[in-house]
Amino acid sequence: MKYSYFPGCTLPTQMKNFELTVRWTARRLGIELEELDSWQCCQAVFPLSTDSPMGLVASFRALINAHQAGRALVTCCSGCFHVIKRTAHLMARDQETRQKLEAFCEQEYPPEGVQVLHYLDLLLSSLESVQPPVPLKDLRVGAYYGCLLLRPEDELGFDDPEDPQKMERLVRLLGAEPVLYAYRTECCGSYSSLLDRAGAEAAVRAIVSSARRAGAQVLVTSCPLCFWNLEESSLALATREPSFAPLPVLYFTQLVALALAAPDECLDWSAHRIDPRPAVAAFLPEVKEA
Amino acid sequence: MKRVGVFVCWCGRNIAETVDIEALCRQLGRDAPVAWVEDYKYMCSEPGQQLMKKAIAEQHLDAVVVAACSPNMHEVTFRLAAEAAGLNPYRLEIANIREQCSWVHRDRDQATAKALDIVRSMVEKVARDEELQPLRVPVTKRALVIGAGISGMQAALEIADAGHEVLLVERQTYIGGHMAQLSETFPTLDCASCILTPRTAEVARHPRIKLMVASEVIEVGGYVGNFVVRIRQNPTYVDWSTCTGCMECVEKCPRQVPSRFERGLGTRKAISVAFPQAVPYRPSIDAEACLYFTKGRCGICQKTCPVGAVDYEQKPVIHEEKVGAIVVATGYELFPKARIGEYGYGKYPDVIDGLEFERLNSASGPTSGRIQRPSDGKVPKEVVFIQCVGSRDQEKGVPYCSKICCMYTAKHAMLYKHKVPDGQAYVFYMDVRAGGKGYEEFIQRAVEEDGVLYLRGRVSRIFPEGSKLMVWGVDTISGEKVEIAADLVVLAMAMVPSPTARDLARVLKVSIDEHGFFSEAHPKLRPVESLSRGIYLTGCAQAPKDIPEAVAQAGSAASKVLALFSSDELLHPPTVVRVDPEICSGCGLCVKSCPYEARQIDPVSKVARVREVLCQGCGACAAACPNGATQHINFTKEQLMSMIDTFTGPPDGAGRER
Repeated sequence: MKYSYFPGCTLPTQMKNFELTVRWTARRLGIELEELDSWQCCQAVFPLSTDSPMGLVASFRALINAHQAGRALVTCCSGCFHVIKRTAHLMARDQETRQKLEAFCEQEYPPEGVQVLHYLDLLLSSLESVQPPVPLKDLRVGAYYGCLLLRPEDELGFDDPEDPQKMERLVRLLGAEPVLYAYRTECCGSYSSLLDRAGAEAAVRAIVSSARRAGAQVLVTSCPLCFWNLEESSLALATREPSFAPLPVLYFTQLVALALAAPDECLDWSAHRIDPRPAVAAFLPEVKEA
Repeated sequence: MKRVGVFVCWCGRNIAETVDIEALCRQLGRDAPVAWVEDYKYMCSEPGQQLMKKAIAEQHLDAVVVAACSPNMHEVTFRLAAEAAGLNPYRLEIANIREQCSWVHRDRDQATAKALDIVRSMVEKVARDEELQPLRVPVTKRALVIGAGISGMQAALEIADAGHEVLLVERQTYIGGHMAQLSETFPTLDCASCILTPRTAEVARHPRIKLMVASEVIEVGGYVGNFVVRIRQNPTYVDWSTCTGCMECVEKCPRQVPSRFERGLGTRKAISVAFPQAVPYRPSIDAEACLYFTKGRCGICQKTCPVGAVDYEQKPVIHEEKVGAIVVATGYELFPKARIGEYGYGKYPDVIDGLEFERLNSASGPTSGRIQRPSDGKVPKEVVFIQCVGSRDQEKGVPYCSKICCMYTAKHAMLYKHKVPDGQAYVFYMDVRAGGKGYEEFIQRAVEEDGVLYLRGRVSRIFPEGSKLMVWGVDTISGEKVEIAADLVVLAMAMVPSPTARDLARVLKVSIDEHGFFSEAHPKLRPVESLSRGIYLTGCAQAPKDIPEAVAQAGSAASKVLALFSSDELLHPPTVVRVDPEICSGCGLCVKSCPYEARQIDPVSKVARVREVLCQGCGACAAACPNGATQHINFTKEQLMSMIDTFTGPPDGAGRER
């Protein structure tokens, strides 16, 4: 099945490790992702102001373009998913804002709405029938959901924000062992990390140590902002506090790629400041000596 | 031509400020059927009524319109006054020029014109009103009480003590309701059983109370004073008339299952009594657990029973009973833990609800009153109590306050400290609502004498780490986030109506509110009556309340029943429908449209009939009748058309002076 793909700004630039494994796993599993012809940044934050709809223009256009291509829209980044799905929800509910956007963009929003999907959902349904060639046996994975993927529940409808299960299901399908820990749905510090380093570090310390106590060897996320915060604050904490042991962070697609025996050229470790390779060494492709 | 008198009330300034009373009276005085017009500042007052009575007598009025507030307020007042002056009360009508005119308009001229139309239309109606006499129906002086918790038992005892027979129906196999599960009660800390068991014993031995346990009301027909109810007695698979209560069957039964009475903290046998002090003290079989019923083998209890009382073939029995009044006392349940995700959806064994804590604390409970946590039986040293779980939560729970949780949480924390003095009790609260005699003092005692630590704030999550439960909360007074490593967490869950309430309301044809509590007829002035005459409400079936309140309300409901039973006949309003058999074609549309089963087709004459005492005068059948054979007495088509003509006629009143 074909989907309209909205990569977002971060994946093709800073987070190639995410993008490469998205594209490779899609090819491998027969999920046809066709990148939207023209797309702009989703704005990264769902606008809280209600008097001007300008913050919604980019997601509004992405939705219409996906609809014109006759497909559901797929994103991988928690931030893009959050903003675009909430925009679609608002379009169904708020006629006034929809009409303003339609007038501004000179485009009509489809009355039946546009389906917005997270790539994790596509992976889950595809992997049901696939036996991973490299089962991630004995790898204990702490799924880290953060906030953007789950809340507000009635608008995103992705998973239960109090007790989400989808990433754990994915981890199990790959043959690894999901680890439940208290902080898996707590905030990573988000953009406050730019202003309040101490606050962001406290958030990450709690997340990482809680996952460690529960026995996790790696963390898995779908959010580039969480990824950055987890690494940045962990490294800062580790330099000051010798007792603090960081955990490597992977995108969920990287985990899938490992289990599906992706070739080395699809695995980009350069974006990782905490090297996950030691933790997943047993599942890495054999590198030909140069 | 009738001589109609019109009496216009100012209602202080309520009407007079917006409606030009003088102009209104002047206009009305010119209308042909109006023989007398008078206005007064407060027509409902004693002098106002006197003025009306005097005019009726002196002016020989044979119909009266009172232009005042809604008939819901004072129709009865004025009709009684008219009757005292010798006028048939059904020849007095209210023209509502307050709620439907002065209160909702600003423009004085337009409001005055509208008031004139309202009064004139009523003059047209009243001129065509018949003189009526109320219908008289006999009363069956026997009451049905549904639910034998503390409130239902109290109501039953009061009615029975006053000399009337009571049928007390209980869904469970024992009486006493949730109170039977409680350990101690606030604010006195006296033992719940010690208060309750004398009452249950009294109910069981009372010569005028017929107790039916394991029974449900499935159908209610008839009307006030003459209800016919059908009650299904569910099988207990033990013939209680021969059973001696020796309990040998219970001893020999090989099957242990979690006990509902112990809220899953203890076990019971598949054949058992709910608890040792249960009334009636007779065993019953839980067919879902019993090996004989589930697997078709065993049968040990039947072989054991020395008197042959075990009967696997027992079937439900339907009883039909006649009663004159019904008291609904179906009580409450707790909001399910399984709906609270942040506290683990009921998956953590050491997160328990208030009733579970009552069982842990009860001397006759699964731990014989020792405070032990369910997971490993250890005595918990750090216990967190969380108030308002599900209550006052518009997002995921119920918006209302469950009223009793502040008090019972303080009681729980206090009892815990008495039993585990070196333990620490924390209470997370939104605010402490301790309105009641001795209640605030009780809270103070928990804080000051027992050292219970009150933290104002909510708990966002409970998560297990090792053998502890991490409780994340916030203390909004210090502004600090709080994390407590607890051994046991007790949730004060919201009170919700009994799950049977919704079906019962349908059977009784009474209304329930959006949450499923039975609706009282008036929140202030008629708090124990339903909107259906002869059906009364008490206890938590109506709203969350504590034991003293539930008992007080039971007394109030009982007194309503006794007032009903104080006369041999009841009066029924005569404003019902009537059929003209000459016109009726027997099409039966009226039968279908009647919500009260008051209409039927006569099998012999094949025309429609009215069972007048069932008719509530709603008018649905009169509207449905295609050829006007059914007419609503004093709301005939002619009357309604004349009223409409008045409203739609020329606004200046021209042509009205006949």
